[in-house]
Amino acid sequence: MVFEQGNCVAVTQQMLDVAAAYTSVRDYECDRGDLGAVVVFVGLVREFDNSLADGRLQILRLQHYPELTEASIHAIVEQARSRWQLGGVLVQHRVGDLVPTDEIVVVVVGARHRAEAFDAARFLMDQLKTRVMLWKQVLNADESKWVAFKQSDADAAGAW
Amino acid sequence: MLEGDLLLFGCLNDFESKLGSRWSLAGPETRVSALLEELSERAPGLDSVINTPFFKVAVNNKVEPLDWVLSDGDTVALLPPVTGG
Repeated sequence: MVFEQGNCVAVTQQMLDVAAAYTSVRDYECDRGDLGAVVVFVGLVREFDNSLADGRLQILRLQHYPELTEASIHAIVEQARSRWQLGGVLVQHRVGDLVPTDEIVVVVVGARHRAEAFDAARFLMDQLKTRVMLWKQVLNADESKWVAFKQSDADAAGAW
Repeated sequence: MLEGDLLLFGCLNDFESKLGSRWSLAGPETRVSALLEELSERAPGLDSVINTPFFKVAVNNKVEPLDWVLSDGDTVALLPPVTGG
């Protein structure tokens, strides 16, 4: 995994490797000897979805805007760095067709202390929900629906 | 007459049959807002998406304000509120 100025950002159709993501952030900081905390957040595909008539999802399809997706992730990572003193930061997001239990997103934040790592990881996820060019569609054998924007996500992002 | 490619994302894919993949404006008004009005006339229901607070428009892969003046050949992307994560 490639880090540029402490950041590793990727949007991919490949399965996410959570263990490798954690290790890469830990090792990025190891040389400096100043890493005291790593927070790992993983978002998963749920099988149960209330927007579908039978409540069961078979495929979660993630569309994105390739020319803007990674750039918009980099922007929120830089914003996090301006608020907290952070070590390595990794944000990886799946696109394409996912199935229940697949990892959708992995956010890993290294810092000297846990408070910065927890806060920055939550900040990144809250901002990612409202600012990164990704759109979800839920599908099963009978229907497909685009996931509606949630006001609660906007409220969470706006609270920072 | 100005025209260019039109990109639709998320729930706006459902409007593709009415909007197609090209935009055009006869003028004289050539702002993004004028294009959105023209598209809304052709696709009933589109206004319910473009009037949401988090709706955005990108011109040539850069998010621009609704009073942005379009040029011939611009690629316009309509970006409904995002739902990633």
